[in-house]
Amino acid sequence: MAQVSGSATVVSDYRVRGVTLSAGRPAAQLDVGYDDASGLYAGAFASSVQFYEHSEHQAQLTGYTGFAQRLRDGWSVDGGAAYTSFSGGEGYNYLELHTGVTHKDVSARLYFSPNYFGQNVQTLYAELNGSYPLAERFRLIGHAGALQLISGASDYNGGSHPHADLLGGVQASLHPFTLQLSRIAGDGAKRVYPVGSRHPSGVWAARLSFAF
Amino acid sequence: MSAMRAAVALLIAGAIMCCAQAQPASSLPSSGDDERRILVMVRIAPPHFRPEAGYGGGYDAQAGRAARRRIASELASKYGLVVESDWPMASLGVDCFLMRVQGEQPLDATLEALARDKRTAWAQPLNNFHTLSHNDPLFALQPAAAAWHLAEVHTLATGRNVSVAELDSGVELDHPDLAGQISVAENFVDQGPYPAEMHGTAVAGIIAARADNGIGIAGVAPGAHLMALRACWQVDATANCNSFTLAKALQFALARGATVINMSVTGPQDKLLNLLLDAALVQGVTVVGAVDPQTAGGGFPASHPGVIAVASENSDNAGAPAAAVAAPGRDVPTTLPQARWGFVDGSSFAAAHVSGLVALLQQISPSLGPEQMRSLLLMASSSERVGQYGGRRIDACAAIARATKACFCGCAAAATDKTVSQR
Repeated sequence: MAQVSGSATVVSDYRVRGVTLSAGRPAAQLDVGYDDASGLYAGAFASSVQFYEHSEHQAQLTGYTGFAQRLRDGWSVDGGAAYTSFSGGEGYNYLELHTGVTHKDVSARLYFSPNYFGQNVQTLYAELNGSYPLAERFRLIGHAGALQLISGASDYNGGSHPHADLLGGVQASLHPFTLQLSRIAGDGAKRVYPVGSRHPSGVWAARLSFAF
Repeated sequence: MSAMRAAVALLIAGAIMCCAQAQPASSLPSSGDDERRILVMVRIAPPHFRPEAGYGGGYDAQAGRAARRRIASELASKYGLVVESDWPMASLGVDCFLMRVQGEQPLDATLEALARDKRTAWAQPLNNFHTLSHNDPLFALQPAAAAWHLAEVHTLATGRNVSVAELDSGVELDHPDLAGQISVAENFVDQGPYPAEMHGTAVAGIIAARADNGIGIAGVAPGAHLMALRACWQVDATANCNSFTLAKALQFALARGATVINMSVTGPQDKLLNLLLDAALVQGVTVVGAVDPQTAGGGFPASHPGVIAVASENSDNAGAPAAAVAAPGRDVPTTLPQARWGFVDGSSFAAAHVSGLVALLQQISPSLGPEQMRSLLLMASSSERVGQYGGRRIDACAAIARATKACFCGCAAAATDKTVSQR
């Protein structure tokens, strides 16, 4: 039977794969998702974005769908697609395919985009995520990812070497709220993205989420 | 920035409104209500891609928790239940909700209806379990408690309705740990009143002391009926008997339909008793005898063919019969006269253990005759003799398992396989 769930979030800095999409400023986000008993999932995610220091605020809207399945011994797999669009124009819209595997508190995911952020590059992104329970309501969280341009790479957009990004932090849960404090680092993949370059990686970020 | 502020304000307002929705309180179940409690499982959606990237982890089960609680509330309203608590079973992919059935509606009908509802993975009654022990304070000191897994064995059999005749010195009939256990008491020694004596009382306690009465010990067969037949008289630490007193008691036991006869005595070969023992065996009565550790051959009646000869597993023997078994016989806590308890040693008390075990086996499998009983005990015993000339240590669990034809006492294969049916 279907389950509808979602979350409303405020972040101090909207970072995607180590790169800020909110010019280093706070952003508000909403995610609503649907899970069917068959394993089908679909949802929509919206966030405020700001690509450059003085550009206008825009909105990101991502629609996603896929299929998830529990396997034996605590493993699950999923695969699907997400289409992201931005309110300022169609130039940055992009499709990305994803697949992943989860076991207990660790997951590994792989993404492919034929035209990442409309920048005429094909990208592959791989990530490893994990969390570790500390006290009753606290968890240690960690993420490591690498972005690889597989076509369209140039010196201008960061070259053809993999761009790594890391996140490490602590999460506190008091249902329905979750607070996350993390340190984010990356190596400058921001040149792949249509964003300003004034916000280097190596930042602290806070995230407060309300689940419903 | 004003749009940003508006968004934040909206978020906070939404948060406050949504939190006004009642959350299920965690409450400790009180055993009084347990009959009306059930467990309802709601599926946890498998972890998958979500853009907001919380990194909490699949076993966190936070994602979707609010949605599952909403479903649980809907189910509760529809079926007249109250949600008391929940716990995500991440290993199974279900969130388990403890709910209480309200009013007088029948549990079965509610469970059936919940099973048909597509919103549940499954529903089940809240089952009660109990620890495997007896509340008798000396239970932990009984060698049989650990070696024979006595508490676990008692979940299968207590010797209920099995009649065990004890040919011994007098038993204290009003000992608090023996109250209600003795069906018959007869004095075959003299015309005087039936006295309370040490040996008989000790043997009686080992066989059939009341279990879970909060005092003393638990007998091996707390459900058995004891026939306290005084065929011996106490002289200091030993009790003496003779062919006549024993024969009268044995004849009485046969006439009164005893199923098991305990003879924790030893002496020379005796024609009268030999014939009476044969008659008992033919009648299907199992006779248990104590092996004399100082006599090669084990003494009589332990050496009588067909009698189950029991040696103490804690002492050396001059030469127990080849087919003798061994049971606990040292530092055995048991009942003593004047409403006391104390420790006893000797093969008399090892034999008492086996009489109790035979009563348990008899309850499980009433058709077992004395020869089958003897084979069963031997098959469930160690292949090694205790010491050079001792008996073979009995594995009570194995004996019970053979009688019930089920794997028992912590057998790994007994684990049942339950599969979760996902819709």
